[in-house]
Amino acid sequence: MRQPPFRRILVANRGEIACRIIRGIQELGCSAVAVYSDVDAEALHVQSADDAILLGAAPPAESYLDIDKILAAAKESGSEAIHPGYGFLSENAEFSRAVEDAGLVFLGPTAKAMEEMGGKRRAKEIAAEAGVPGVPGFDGRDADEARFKAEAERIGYPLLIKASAGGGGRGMRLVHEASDFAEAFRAGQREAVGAFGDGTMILEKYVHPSRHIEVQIFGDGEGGAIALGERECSVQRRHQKVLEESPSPVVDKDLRRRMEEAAISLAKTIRYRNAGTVEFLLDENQDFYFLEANTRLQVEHPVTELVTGFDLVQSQILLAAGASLEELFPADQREPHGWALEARICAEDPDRDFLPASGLLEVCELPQGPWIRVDTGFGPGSTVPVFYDSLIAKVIVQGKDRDSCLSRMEMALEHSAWLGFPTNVDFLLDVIRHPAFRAGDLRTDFLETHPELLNRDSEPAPEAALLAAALAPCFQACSTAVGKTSESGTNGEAGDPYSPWKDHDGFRLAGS
Amino acid sequence: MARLPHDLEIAEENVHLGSRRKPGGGFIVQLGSKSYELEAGRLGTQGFWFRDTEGQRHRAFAAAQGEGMVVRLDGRTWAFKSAVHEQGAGAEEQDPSQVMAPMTGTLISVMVSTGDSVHEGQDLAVLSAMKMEHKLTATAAGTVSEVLCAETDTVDAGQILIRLEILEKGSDRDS
Repeated sequence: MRQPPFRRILVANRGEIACRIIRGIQELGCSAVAVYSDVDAEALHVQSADDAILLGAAPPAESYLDIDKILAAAKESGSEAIHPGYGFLSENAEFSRAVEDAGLVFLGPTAKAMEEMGGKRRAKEIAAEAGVPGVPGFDGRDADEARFKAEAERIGYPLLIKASAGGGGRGMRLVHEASDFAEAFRAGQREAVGAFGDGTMILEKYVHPSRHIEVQIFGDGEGGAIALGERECSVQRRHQKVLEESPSPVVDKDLRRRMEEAAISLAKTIRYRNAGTVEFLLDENQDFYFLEANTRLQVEHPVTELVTGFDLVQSQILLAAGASLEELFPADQREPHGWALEARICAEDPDRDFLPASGLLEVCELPQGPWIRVDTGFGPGSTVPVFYDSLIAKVIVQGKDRDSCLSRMEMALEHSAWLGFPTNVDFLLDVIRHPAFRAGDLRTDFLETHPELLNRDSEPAPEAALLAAALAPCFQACSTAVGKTSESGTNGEAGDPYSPWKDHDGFRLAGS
Repeated sequence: MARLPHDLEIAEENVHLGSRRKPGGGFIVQLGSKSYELEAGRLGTQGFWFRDTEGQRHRAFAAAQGEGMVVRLDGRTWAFKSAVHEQGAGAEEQDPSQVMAPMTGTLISVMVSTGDSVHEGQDLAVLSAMKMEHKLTATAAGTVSEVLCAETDTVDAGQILIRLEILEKGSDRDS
């Protein structure tokens, strides 16, 4: 057993990604420190960590986005390194710099790399330097709205307005005609300020039909870089990914090699350090354009882990502790094997334009079985607060080929349940069963071209659903959050098949 | 855990649901005026199974959701409105004179004032939650009679934010 790379590592995040990182840290023999806001006091990531420190109130600015509080928590807990996860401060150069200035190790890229690659504008210039073609656009840092409007005319509609600092679709707007520009621009900018504290915007020609393909990279910060194949993330709603897989159904060995070379060239150009992702649009002629670089671990990193066998989180940690890329990712082991598919389970209502939902997760039956992995931040009885991302879990399946992943995912989702507020699970099942998805015929406008997935007829409920509704109270009394009702009077009933559950619940109450 | 409702609105009718364990085994299930005898049992720690009147076995999970309940049956989700609390979730889509918050969140913009006339589809306010923005639009033409919220307010799902006086159908044709 090797020496733990660090004694303690603080995870500056919450939800499923914090849980996943905490596990990676613990498996390396390090202890993991969680941070949390007051609404997350009982959250899963707090429970699974070895120590946990309260940051402050629920609004992100007072907790997960507060650099000073996070550094103070690291100091208080004696942490030597900080993992930022994704979202929140993960792509904030100021944070990376502040962590290192405080004498701690930042498990991610340098502030300089973030500034260069994280800003979409500069990243495009670097991509051009590295010989990677980009999508036509405009990126005037100090330009006013009128100038943006004029540039929009030059680029032509439809076009995308994006937050320069952003990712995950925050601040992004698709504009089809000039008359919608001003409003979309202002709304996008407002969202960007709220999400990233930075309202710098860029414009980009909307290339379609296209696929969203991204390449996982790792750099050693000294000019060395490797790539771990691609992920296909074309199916998106509101510019947020819904289903991701690796490999892509259309990327052959030659195309993979060319995309990897482009991504590596980009990484080497700026001496990139740690994990990152280079996103491309791939058109129907198999030509690819640089879209943006994400200077962090991605939500969808598990599909790469499953087809390569590398633990990306642990690799981030070990790399920061001095391991070399060749030690971590031996060149002869980087080829993907088999297939992996990820579905994002979100608290949102697909029948109401994916309106975010929140509340008590009364029932949380996670899928299980061979070749199924679940990364979750919530369990039965968890509360999904309104303040943060709507992602509650990721279901990832693995198989020898795409077809086996499709049926495995279908079974996994069918046998699971997240109840208490609307989720996208049925929607995900509809997408997976759709002939175009099964055929691997994926485009970033997949949902626009298959509107039947969004406008589902509201079928009348079958009688069996009513029978289930009627039966439910008979079984509910024994389920998750019960404890409160004392059932001790009925526990002794001989022949009552449910009494063991009641005992069980008493135990759970004490333990929760 | 929230209590499950016993009266649901199904196909615009109120249906009373009931169930109890039969002394000799099995369950008596009541759906409105109809009554069934079914076999059922627990499934894992959170779900249950039952055999329907045709002998078909089903897997189910159920929970309260808003004022109503939600059932997941054989991998498909069915949401039911409670018949008793129809005013909550049910009314919001039907009554254009009340603009409600569709979710808990923070108002980042309120674009109308009392006395403004609005057309169908006009944006009235912008709500932000889970870091995404959502526009609230007028579902019918009318005049703003009351604004019950202000920018930066945190509002609850179902809270009435703006009241409109709706124009009679057809009367806006000339305007």
